[in-house]
Amino acid sequence: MFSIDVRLAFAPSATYGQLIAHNRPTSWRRALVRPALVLLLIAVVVPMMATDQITAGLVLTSAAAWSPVVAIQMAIAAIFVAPARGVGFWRAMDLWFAGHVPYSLWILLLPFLTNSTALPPHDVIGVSLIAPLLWTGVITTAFFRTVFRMDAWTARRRALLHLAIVVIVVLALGLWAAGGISATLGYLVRRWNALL
Amino acid sequence: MTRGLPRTIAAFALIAGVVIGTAVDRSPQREPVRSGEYLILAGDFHVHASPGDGSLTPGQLRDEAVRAGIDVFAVTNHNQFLAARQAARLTPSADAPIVIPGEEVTDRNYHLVAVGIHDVVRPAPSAALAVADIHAQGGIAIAAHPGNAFAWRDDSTLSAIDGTEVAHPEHEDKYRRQYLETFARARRVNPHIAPIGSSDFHNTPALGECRTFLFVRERSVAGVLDAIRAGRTVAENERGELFGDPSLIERVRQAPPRGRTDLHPAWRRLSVALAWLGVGGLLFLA
Repeated sequence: MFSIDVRLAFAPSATYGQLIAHNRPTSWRRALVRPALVLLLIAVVVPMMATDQITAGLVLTSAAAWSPVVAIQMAIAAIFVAPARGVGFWRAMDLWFAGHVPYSLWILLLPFLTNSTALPPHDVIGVSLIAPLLWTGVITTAFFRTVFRMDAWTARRRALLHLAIVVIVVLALGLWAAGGISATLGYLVRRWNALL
Repeated sequence: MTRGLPRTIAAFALIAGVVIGTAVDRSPQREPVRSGEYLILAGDFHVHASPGDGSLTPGQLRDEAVRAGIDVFAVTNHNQFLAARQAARLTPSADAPIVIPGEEVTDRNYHLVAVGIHDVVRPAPSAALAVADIHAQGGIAIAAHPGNAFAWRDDSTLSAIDGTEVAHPEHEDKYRRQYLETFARARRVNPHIAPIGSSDFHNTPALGECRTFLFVRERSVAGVLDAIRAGRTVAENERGELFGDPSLIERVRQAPPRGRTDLHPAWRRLSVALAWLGVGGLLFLA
Protein backbone atom coordinates (compact mmCIF):
# COMPACT_ATOMS: atom_id res chain seq x y z
CA MET A 1 0.00 0.00 0.00
CA PHE A 2 2.64 2.55 1.09
CA SER A 3 5.68 3.42 -0.98
CA ILE A 4 9.21 2.32 -0.21
CA ASP A 5 9.92 5.98 0.70
CA VAL A 6 7.39 5.80 3.54
CA ARG A 7 8.92 2.57 4.81
CA LEU A 8 12.32 4.23 4.63
CA ALA A 9 11.13 7.15 6.72
CA PHE A 10 10.11 4.84 9.57
CA ALA A 11 12.84 2.20 9.27
CA PRO A 12 15.69 3.93 7.45
CA SER A 13 18.58 1.53 8.09
CA ALA A 14 16.62 -1.64 7.27
CA THR A 15 15.05 -0.13 4.15
CA TYR A 16 18.32 1.33 2.84
CA GLY A 17 19.80 -2.14 3.44
CA GLN A 18 17.10 -3.73 1.25
CA LEU A 19 17.51 -1.09 -1.43
CA ILE A 20 21.27 -1.47 -1.83
CA ALA A 21 20.95 -5.28 -1.72
CA HIS A 22 19.24 -4.98 -5.10
CA ASN A 23 21.77 -2.54 -6.44
CA ARG A 24 21.27 -1.52 -10.01
CA PRO A 25 22.60 1.36 -12.08
CA THR A 26 20.32 4.41 -12.08
CA SER A 27 20.10 6.84 -14.99
CA TRP A 28 20.02 10.58 -14.37
CA ARG A 29 16.44 10.63 -15.65
CA ARG A 30 15.37 8.06 -13.03
CA ALA A 31 17.23 9.99 -10.33
CA LEU A 32 15.31 13.16 -11.18
CA VAL A 33 11.88 11.56 -10.68
CA ARG A 34 11.81 12.01 -6.89
CA PRO A 35 13.01 15.67 -6.95
CA ALA A 36 10.41 16.30 -9.68
CA LEU A 37 7.69 14.84 -7.46
CA VAL A 38 8.81 17.08 -4.59
CA LEU A 39 8.58 20.06 -6.95
CA LEU A 40 5.09 18.94 -8.02
CA LEU A 41 4.08 18.73 -4.36
CA ILE A 42 5.30 22.29 -3.70
CA ALA A 43 3.65 23.54 -6.89
CA VAL A 44 0.29 22.09 -5.81
CA VAL A 45 0.30 22.79 -2.07
CA VAL A 46 1.81 26.31 -1.89
CA PRO A 47 -0.74 28.04 -4.17
CA MET A 48 -3.49 25.90 -2.62
CA MET A 49 -2.49 27.20 0.81
CA ALA A 50 -2.44 30.80 -0.44
CA THR A 51 -5.59 30.84 -2.55
CA ASP A 52 -7.73 27.84 -1.51
CA GLN A 53 -7.80 27.12 -5.22
CA ILE A 54 -5.97 24.88 -7.70
CA THR A 55 -5.63 25.47 -11.42
CA ALA A 56 -3.23 24.32 -14.13
CA GLY A 57 -1.86 27.87 -14.34
CA LEU A 58 -1.16 28.00 -10.62
CA VAL A 59 0.64 24.61 -10.71
CA LEU A 60 2.80 25.52 -13.72
CA THR A 61 3.77 29.01 -12.55
CA SER A 62 4.43 27.77 -9.00
CA ALA A 63 6.64 24.96 -10.33
CA ALA A 64 8.68 27.56 -12.21
CA ALA A 65 8.84 29.93 -9.24
CA TRP A 66 9.78 27.30 -6.64
CA SER A 67 12.14 25.20 -8.77
CA PRO A 68 15.19 26.98 -7.24
CA VAL A 69 14.23 25.49 -3.86
CA VAL A 70 14.48 21.94 -5.24
CA ALA A 71 17.63 22.90 -7.16
CA ILE A 72 19.21 24.08 -3.89
CA GLN A 73 18.24 20.79 -2.20
CA MET A 74 19.84 18.87 -5.08
CA ALA A 75 22.99 21.01 -4.92
CA ILE A 76 23.35 20.37 -1.18
CA ALA A 77 22.70 16.66 -1.72
CA ALA A 78 25.31 16.57 -4.50
CA ILE A 79 27.98 17.76 -2.05
CA PHE A 80 27.33 14.71 0.12
CA VAL A 81 26.67 12.04 -2.51
CA ALA A 82 29.49 13.07 -4.88
CA PRO A 83 31.96 10.50 -3.48
CA ALA A 84 29.26 7.90 -4.43
CA ARG A 85 31.33 5.09 -2.78
CA GLY A 86 30.57 2.26 -5.13
CA VAL A 87 26.88 2.90 -5.79
CA GLY A 88 27.27 5.54 -8.52
CA PHE A 89 26.39 9.22 -8.32
CA TRP A 90 22.84 9.09 -9.71
CA ARG A 91 21.98 5.94 -7.73
CA ALA A 92 23.23 7.68 -4.58
CA MET A 93 21.21 10.79 -5.47
CA ASP A 94 18.07 8.67 -5.98
CA LEU A 95 18.58 6.90 -2.65
CA TRP A 96 19.18 10.24 -0.94
CA PHE A 97 15.93 11.71 -2.25
CA ALA A 98 14.08 8.56 -1.19
CA GLY A 99 14.43 10.13 2.27
CA HIS A 100 12.17 13.08 1.33
CA VAL A 101 9.11 11.91 3.29
CA PRO A 102 9.55 14.13 6.40
CA TYR A 103 9.72 17.33 4.29
CA SER A 104 7.00 16.13 1.90
CA LEU A 105 4.66 15.28 4.75
CA TRP A 106 5.36 18.67 6.33
CA ILE A 107 4.62 20.50 3.06
CA LEU A 108 1.45 18.45 2.53
CA LEU A 109 0.20 19.35 6.02
CA LEU A 110 1.09 23.07 5.78
CA PRO A 111 -2.41 24.23 4.71
CA PHE A 112 -3.85 22.64 7.86
CA LEU A 113 -1.05 23.78 10.14
CA THR A 114 -1.29 27.42 9.03
CA ASN A 115 -5.09 27.59 9.13
CA SER A 116 -5.82 25.66 12.31
CA THR A 117 -4.24 27.98 14.84
CA ALA A 118 -4.52 31.62 15.87
CA LEU A 119 -0.72 31.96 15.62
CA PRO A 120 0.70 33.84 12.62
CA PRO A 121 1.42 31.37 9.76
CA HIS A 122 5.12 32.35 9.72
CA ASP A 123 5.50 31.30 13.35
CA VAL A 124 3.75 28.00 12.69
CA ILE A 125 5.88 27.32 9.60
CA GLY A 126 9.12 28.20 11.42
CA VAL A 127 8.43 26.10 14.51
CA SER A 128 6.96 23.09 12.70
CA LEU A 129 9.97 22.98 10.35
CA ILE A 130 12.03 21.62 13.25
CA ALA A 131 10.25 18.24 12.97
CA PRO A 132 11.27 17.41 9.37
CA LEU A 133 14.77 18.82 9.98
CA LEU A 134 15.38 16.41 12.87
CA TRP A 135 13.59 13.46 11.26
CA THR A 136 15.65 13.89 8.10
CA GLY A 137 18.77 13.94 10.29
CA VAL A 138 17.94 10.37 11.38
CA ILE A 139 17.42 9.29 7.75
CA THR A 140 20.66 10.87 6.47
CA THR A 141 22.60 9.18 9.29
CA ALA A 142 21.18 5.85 8.12
CA PHE A 143 22.06 6.78 4.52
CA PHE A 144 25.72 7.38 5.37
CA ARG A 145 25.94 4.25 7.51
CA THR A 146 24.13 1.85 5.20
CA VAL A 147 24.65 3.15 1.68
CA PHE A 148 28.18 4.58 2.12
CA ARG A 149 29.10 2.03 4.84
CA MET A 150 30.55 4.67 7.18
CA ASP A 151 31.09 3.97 10.86
CA ALA A 152 28.47 5.36 13.26
CA TRP A 153 30.59 8.32 14.39
CA THR A 154 31.47 9.50 10.87
CA ALA A 155 27.89 9.00 9.69
CA ARG A 156 26.54 11.13 12.55
CA ARG A 157 29.10 13.88 11.85
CA ARG A 158 28.17 13.90 8.14
CA ALA A 159 24.45 14.04 8.98
CA LEU A 160 25.09 16.88 11.43
CA LEU A 161 27.10 18.77 8.81
CA HIS A 162 24.24 18.33 6.33
CA LEU A 163 21.76 19.55 8.94
CA ALA A 164 23.97 22.59 9.66
CA ILE A 165 24.18 23.50 5.97
CA VAL A 166 20.40 23.17 5.54
CA VAL A 167 19.74 25.30 8.65
CA ILE A 168 22.21 27.98 7.47
CA VAL A 169 20.61 28.11 4.00
CA VAL A 170 17.07 28.24 5.46
CA LEU A 171 18.10 30.95 7.95
CA ALA A 172 19.86 33.00 5.27
CA LEU A 173 16.83 32.86 2.96
CA GLY A 174 14.50 33.56 5.89
CA LEU A 175 16.52 36.58 7.03
CA TRP A 176 16.65 37.95 3.50
CA ALA A 177 12.88 37.53 3.07
CA ALA A 178 12.13 39.06 6.47
CA GLY A 179 14.16 42.21 5.77
CA GLY A 180 17.48 41.45 7.47
CA ILE A 181 18.81 40.64 10.92
CA SER A 182 17.62 43.82 12.65
CA ALA A 183 14.08 43.50 11.28
CA THR A 184 13.94 39.82 12.22
CA LEU A 185 15.20 40.47 15.76
CA GLY A 186 12.61 43.24 16.12
CA TYR A 187 9.88 40.80 15.03
CA LEU A 188 11.05 38.12 17.47
CA VAL A 189 11.16 40.62 20.36
CA ARG A 190 7.61 41.79 19.58
CA ARG A 191 6.37 38.19 19.35
CA TRP A 192 8.05 37.37 22.65
CA ASN A 193 6.53 40.44 24.34
CA ALA A 194 3.10 39.54 22.95
CA LEU A 195 3.38 36.04 24.44
CA LEU A 196 4.31 37.34 27.90
CA MET B 1 -4.32 -4.57 -4.06
CA THR B 2 -2.43 -4.56 -7.37
CA ARG B 3 0.97 -2.93 -7.02
CA GLY B 4 0.90 0.52 -8.59
CA LEU B 5 -2.88 0.83 -8.61
CA PRO B 6 -3.11 3.23 -5.61
CA ARG B 7 -0.53 5.47 -7.27
CA THR B 8 -2.41 5.41 -10.56
CA ILE B 9 -5.62 6.35 -8.78
CA ALA B 10 -3.75 9.16 -6.99
CA ALA B 11 -2.40 10.48 -10.31
CA PHE B 12 -5.94 10.52 -11.75
CA ALA B 13 -7.25 12.30 -8.65
CA LEU B 14 -4.55 14.97 -9.00
CA ILE B 15 -5.29 15.48 -12.69
CA ALA B 16 -9.05 15.56 -12.05
CA GLY B 17 -8.58 18.11 -9.27
CA VAL B 18 -6.48 20.41 -11.43
CA VAL B 19 -8.85 20.08 -14.42
CA ILE B 20 -11.95 20.79 -12.31
CA GLY B 21 -10.20 23.69 -10.53
CA THR B 22 -9.17 25.21 -13.87
CA ALA B 23 -12.65 24.78 -15.35
CA VAL B 24 -14.46 26.51 -12.47
CA ASP B 25 -11.91 29.33 -12.06
CA ARG B 26 -14.06 32.00 -13.70
CA SER B 27 -14.49 35.52 -12.36
CA PRO B 28 -17.11 37.73 -13.98
CA GLN B 29 -16.04 40.99 -15.62
CA ARG B 30 -15.97 43.79 -13.04
CA GLU B 31 -17.74 46.98 -13.95
CA PRO B 32 -16.17 50.03 -12.29
CA VAL B 33 -18.43 51.54 -9.63
CA ARG B 34 -19.05 55.26 -10.15
CA SER B 35 -19.94 57.69 -7.39
CA GLY B 36 -20.38 61.27 -8.61
CA GLU B 37 -17.16 62.49 -10.21
CA TYR B 38 -15.17 59.52 -8.85
CA LEU B 39 -14.69 55.85 -9.61
CA ILE B 40 -14.58 53.67 -6.50
CA LEU B 41 -11.73 51.14 -6.66
CA ALA B 42 -10.92 48.43 -4.14
CA GLY B 43 -7.23 48.30 -3.19
CA ASP B 44 -4.82 46.28 -1.09
CA PHE B 45 -1.52 48.10 -0.53
CA HIS B 46 0.30 45.64 1.73
CA VAL B 47 0.92 42.40 -0.14
CA HIS B 48 3.97 40.12 0.06
CA ALA B 49 5.10 38.16 -2.98
CA SER B 50 7.53 35.49 -4.11
CA PRO B 51 10.53 35.79 -4.36
CA GLY B 52 10.39 36.98 -0.77
CA ASP B 53 8.19 35.98 2.13
CA GLY B 54 5.02 35.66 0.06
CA SER B 55 3.81 32.45 -1.55
CA LEU B 56 2.55 33.83 -4.86
CA THR B 57 4.41 35.54 -7.68
CA PRO B 58 3.20 38.99 -8.77
CA GLY B 59 1.49 37.41 -11.80
CA GLN B 60 -0.32 34.88 -9.61
CA LEU B 61 -1.28 37.69 -7.23
CA ARG B 62 -2.84 39.60 -10.10
CA ASP B 63 -5.05 36.58 -10.91
CA GLU B 64 -5.92 36.20 -7.23
CA ALA B 65 -6.80 39.91 -7.08
CA VAL B 66 -9.39 39.30 -9.82
CA ARG B 67 -10.96 36.53 -7.71
CA ALA B 68 -10.81 38.73 -4.59
CA GLY B 69 -12.44 41.73 -6.30
CA ILE B 70 -9.35 43.89 -5.90
CA ASP B 71 -8.76 46.55 -8.57
CA VAL B 72 -5.31 47.65 -7.45
CA PHE B 73 -2.63 46.23 -5.18
CA ALA B 74 0.97 46.94 -4.23
CA VAL B 75 3.75 44.35 -3.95
CA THR B 76 5.52 45.26 -0.71
CA ASN B 77 8.25 42.86 0.42
CA HIS B 78 10.49 43.56 3.41
CA ASN B 79 13.46 45.81 2.53
CA GLN B 80 13.83 44.39 -0.98
CA PHE B 81 12.58 45.22 -4.42
CA LEU B 82 13.06 41.98 -6.39
CA ALA B 83 9.40 40.93 -6.52
CA ALA B 84 8.33 44.57 -7.00
CA ARG B 85 10.57 44.76 -10.08
CA GLN B 86 8.86 41.64 -11.45
CA ALA B 87 5.52 43.29 -10.69
CA ALA B 88 6.58 46.38 -12.62
CA ARG B 89 7.33 44.19 -15.65
CA LEU B 90 3.82 42.68 -15.79
CA THR B 91 2.06 43.65 -18.99
CA PRO B 92 -0.58 46.24 -18.16
CA SER B 93 -4.11 45.53 -19.29
CA ALA B 94 -7.28 47.61 -19.14
CA ASP B 95 -9.17 44.66 -17.61
CA ALA B 96 -6.53 43.41 -15.17
CA PRO B 97 -5.95 44.85 -11.69
CA ILE B 98 -3.34 47.59 -11.45
CA VAL B 99 -0.09 46.35 -9.87
CA ILE B 100 2.08 48.98 -8.12
CA PRO B 101 5.70 48.29 -7.07
CA GLY B 102 6.34 48.98 -3.42
CA GLU B 103 8.17 47.86 -0.32
CA GLU B 104 7.55 47.34 3.38
CA VAL B 105 10.40 49.39 4.82
CA THR B 106 11.10 47.25 7.87
CA ASP B 107 12.96 48.58 10.87
CA ARG B 108 13.05 47.38 14.46
CA ASN B 109 11.02 50.47 15.49
CA TYR B 110 8.65 50.97 12.55
CA HIS B 111 7.20 49.31 9.48
CA LEU B 112 6.33 51.67 6.63
CA VAL B 113 4.59 50.61 3.46
CA ALA B 114 6.03 52.51 0.48
CA VAL B 115 3.81 52.48 -2.61
CA GLY B 116 4.70 53.82 -6.05
CA ILE B 117 8.49 53.85 -5.62
CA HIS B 118 10.98 52.79 -8.28
CA ASP B 119 13.94 51.66 -6.18
CA VAL B 120 14.60 50.08 -2.80
CA VAL B 121 14.27 52.35 0.27
CA ARG B 122 16.76 51.46 3.00
CA PRO B 123 15.43 51.59 6.58
CA ALA B 124 16.55 54.93 8.02
CA PRO B 125 17.34 55.58 11.71
CA SER B 126 13.94 57.24 12.06
CA ALA B 127 10.56 56.78 10.39
CA ALA B 128 10.55 60.46 9.43
CA LEU B 129 13.74 60.02 7.37
CA ALA B 130 12.32 56.92 5.68
CA VAL B 131 9.15 58.86 4.83
CA ALA B 132 11.31 61.58 3.25
CA ASP B 133 13.13 58.94 1.14
CA ILE B 134 9.79 57.51 -0.03
CA HIS B 135 8.45 60.97 -0.93
CA ALA B 136 11.69 61.77 -2.78
CA GLN B 137 10.90 58.84 -5.10
CA GLY B 138 7.37 60.13 -5.65
CA GLY B 139 5.85 57.38 -3.54
CA ILE B 140 3.40 57.45 -0.67
CA ALA B 141 4.14 56.29 2.89
CA ILE B 142 1.66 54.29 4.96
CA ALA B 143 2.19 53.32 8.62
CA ALA B 144 1.93 49.52 8.67
CA HIS B 145 0.01 47.81 11.53
CA PRO B 146 0.81 50.85 13.73
CA GLY B 147 0.26 49.33 17.17
CA ASN B 148 1.94 50.26 20.42
CA ALA B 149 4.93 48.02 19.65
CA PHE B 150 6.02 50.57 17.04
CA ALA B 151 7.17 54.14 17.53
CA TRP B 152 4.28 56.20 16.14
CA ARG B 153 4.15 58.61 19.04
CA ASP B 154 5.93 61.45 17.25
CA ASP B 155 3.44 63.98 15.82
CA SER B 156 5.89 65.29 13.21
CA THR B 157 6.20 61.77 11.72
CA LEU B 158 2.44 61.26 11.81
CA SER B 159 1.93 64.56 10.00
CA ALA B 160 4.38 63.49 7.24
CA ILE B 161 2.87 60.10 6.35
CA ASP B 162 0.13 59.78 3.75
CA GLY B 163 -1.91 57.00 5.30
CA THR B 164 -2.16 54.64 8.24
CA GLU B 165 -3.49 51.10 8.39
CA VAL B 166 -6.73 51.25 10.33
CA ALA B 167 -7.87 47.82 9.15
CA HIS B 168 -5.39 44.94 9.29
CA PRO B 169 -6.29 41.27 9.95
CA GLU B 170 -5.91 40.62 13.67
CA HIS B 171 -6.97 37.92 16.10
CA GLU B 172 -7.02 40.29 19.08
CA ASP B 173 -9.21 43.36 19.57
CA LYS B 174 -6.47 45.23 21.46
CA TYR B 175 -4.49 45.63 18.22
CA ARG B 176 -7.59 46.88 16.37
CA ARG B 177 -8.03 49.51 19.09
CA GLN B 178 -4.38 50.56 18.84
CA TYR B 179 -4.64 51.05 15.06
CA LEU B 180 -7.75 53.19 15.55
CA GLU B 181 -6.02 55.25 18.24
CA THR B 182 -3.03 55.86 15.95
CA PHE B 183 -5.39 56.92 13.15
CA ALA B 184 -7.29 59.28 15.46
CA ARG B 185 -4.01 60.87 16.64
CA ALA B 186 -2.73 61.13 13.07
CA ARG B 187 -5.99 62.78 11.95
CA ARG B 188 -5.55 65.52 14.57
CA VAL B 189 -2.14 66.55 13.15
CA ASN B 190 -2.89 65.62 9.53
CA PRO B 191 -6.63 65.95 8.65
CA HIS B 192 -6.08 64.51 5.14
CA ILE B 193 -4.35 61.33 6.24
CA ALA B 194 -5.85 58.34 4.42
CA PRO B 195 -7.43 55.47 6.34
CA ILE B 196 -6.04 52.29 4.81
CA GLY B 197 -7.25 48.69 4.97
CA SER B 198 -4.66 46.07 4.03
CA SER B 199 -4.45 42.28 4.17
CA ASP B 200 -0.67 42.00 4.75
CA PHE B 201 -1.03 38.92 2.56
CA HIS B 202 1.74 36.34 2.84
CA ASN B 203 0.69 32.73 2.40
CA THR B 204 -2.85 32.06 3.59
CA PRO B 205 -6.03 32.84 1.65
CA ALA B 206 -6.61 36.44 2.65
CA LEU B 207 -5.81 38.79 -0.23
CA GLY B 208 -8.24 41.69 0.12
CA GLU B 209 -9.51 40.40 3.49
CA CYS B 210 -9.09 43.98 4.68
CA ARG B 211 -9.23 46.51 1.85
CA THR B 212 -9.19 50.17 0.94
CA PHE B 213 -11.89 51.82 -1.15
CA LEU B 214 -10.41 54.67 -3.19
CA PHE B 215 -12.25 57.55 -4.82
CA VAL B 216 -10.17 58.07 -7.97
CA ARG B 217 -10.53 60.54 -10.83
CA GLU B 218 -8.92 58.07 -13.26
CA ARG B 219 -8.19 54.36 -13.17
CA SER B 220 -4.39 54.60 -13.15
CA VAL B 221 -1.42 54.46 -10.77
CA ALA B 222 -1.36 58.28 -10.68
CA GLY B 223 -5.09 58.36 -9.95
CA VAL B 224 -4.69 55.87 -7.09
CA LEU B 225 -1.73 57.67 -5.50
CA ASP B 226 -3.55 60.99 -5.86
CA ALA B 227 -6.61 59.60 -4.02
CA ILE B 228 -4.43 58.40 -1.12
CA ARG B 229 -2.52 61.71 -0.90
CA ALA B 230 -5.84 63.56 -0.76
CA GLY B 231 -7.25 61.17 1.86
CA ARG B 232 -10.15 60.07 -0.39
CA THR B 233 -10.23 56.54 1.01
CA VAL B 234 -12.35 54.33 3.22
CA ALA B 235 -10.86 51.32 5.01
CA GLU B 236 -12.78 48.09 5.49
CA ASN B 237 -11.78 45.42 8.00
CA GLU B 238 -12.43 41.67 7.84
CA ARG B 239 -15.74 42.18 9.69
CA GLY B 240 -17.02 44.58 7.05
CA GLU B 241 -16.68 47.64 9.32
CA LEU B 242 -15.83 50.87 7.48
CA PHE B 243 -13.49 53.65 8.67
CA GLY B 244 -12.92 57.13 7.28
CA ASP B 245 -14.78 60.28 6.37
CA PRO B 246 -18.53 59.70 7.10
CA SER B 247 -19.58 61.21 3.76
CA LEU B 248 -17.26 58.82 1.86
CA ILE B 249 -18.44 55.87 3.95
CA GLU B 250 -22.00 56.75 2.99
CA ARG B 251 -21.04 56.79 -0.69
CA VAL B 252 -19.43 53.34 -0.36
CA ARG B 253 -22.60 52.03 1.30
CA GLN B 254 -24.72 53.45 -1.53
CA ALA B 255 -22.57 51.92 -4.28
CA PRO B 256 -20.60 49.06 -2.75
CA PRO B 257 -17.95 47.56 -5.06
CA ARG B 258 -18.23 43.80 -5.46
CA GLY B 259 -16.13 41.68 -3.08
CA ARG B 260 -14.70 38.20 -3.63
CA THR B 261 -16.50 36.08 -6.20
CA ASP B 262 -16.74 32.34 -5.73
CA LEU B 263 -19.19 31.09 -8.34
CA HIS B 264 -18.68 27.36 -7.75
CA PRO B 265 -17.57 26.89 -4.12
CA ALA B 266 -18.49 23.18 -3.98
CA TRP B 267 -16.57 22.36 -7.18
CA ARG B 268 -13.63 24.49 -6.03
CA ARG B 269 -13.45 22.62 -2.71
CA LEU B 270 -13.73 19.27 -4.49
CA SER B 271 -10.89 20.22 -6.86
CA VAL B 272 -8.66 21.23 -3.93
CA ALA B 273 -9.44 18.01 -2.02
CA LEU B 274 -8.78 15.82 -5.09
CA ALA B 275 -5.50 17.57 -5.90
CA TRP B 276 -4.32 17.39 -2.29
CA LEU B 277 -5.17 13.68 -1.96
CA GLY B 278 -3.74 13.00 -5.41
CA VAL B 279 -0.35 14.60 -4.86
CA GLY B 280 -0.10 13.02 -1.38
CA GLY B 281 -0.97 9.62 -2.82
CA LEU B 282 1.54 10.02 -5.63
CA LEU B 283 4.28 10.60 -3.07
CA PHE B 284 3.35 8.14 -0.36
CA LEU B 285 1.52 5.22 -2.00
CA ALA B 286 3.10 2.25 -3.78
